[in-house]
Amino acid sequence: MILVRLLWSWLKGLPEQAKQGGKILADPKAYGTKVLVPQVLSYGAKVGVIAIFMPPTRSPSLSARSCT
Amino acid sequence: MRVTAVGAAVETVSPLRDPHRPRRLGKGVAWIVGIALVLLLLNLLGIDVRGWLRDMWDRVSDVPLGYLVVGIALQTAQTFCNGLAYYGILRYADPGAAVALWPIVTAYAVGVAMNSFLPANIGTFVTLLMFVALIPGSTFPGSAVPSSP
Repeated sequence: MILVRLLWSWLKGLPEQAKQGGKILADPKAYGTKVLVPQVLSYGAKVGVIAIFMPPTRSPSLSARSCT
Repeated sequence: MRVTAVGAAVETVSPLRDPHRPRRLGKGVAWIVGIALVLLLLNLLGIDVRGWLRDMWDRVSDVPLGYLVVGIALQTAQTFCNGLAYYGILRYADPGAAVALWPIVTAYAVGVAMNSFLPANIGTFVTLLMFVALIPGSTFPGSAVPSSP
């Protein structure tokens, strides 16, 4: 019973803590500048990495590997 | 008591929160040397670590140098931008807390590196634990929300 109570008191606090982490979602301007812009840049860089390494992966040795 | 002893030992070897730069670098070098010794030991035990490293090196050297440089630069930019987004979220969540950019970017980069060879996104879990360790007063659920898809 004590364990259940301890667990319950711990679980009760979780939504509040989670809400604190997601606070930025309530402010679209802050979210746009502080999260969305870096994420878009990151996505662009990721696409760049794929584009950069795409031609070497067309080499015969790696193409043969991808067929197996 | 035991937990305190373990905590003290971790604090002694961990480069986090150590304000002394040369000592921090020394700890980093000690970790690299330690990992090299473990790899050497594995090789001596019959696990083909050298062969694996040679195979990896052959594959990397197959790629032209220019591609590698640009690829590494873009990969670094990607990791930095993701770390920057985390920094924005964590800083907004608790404006009063002492949140610094570079430790957050580093924690994110550590997680990315660990995810590349460990199963089940253990690296992400490590990143979140590092956030909790780095930001005074932060909580695991609060750090976990931004990492949710």
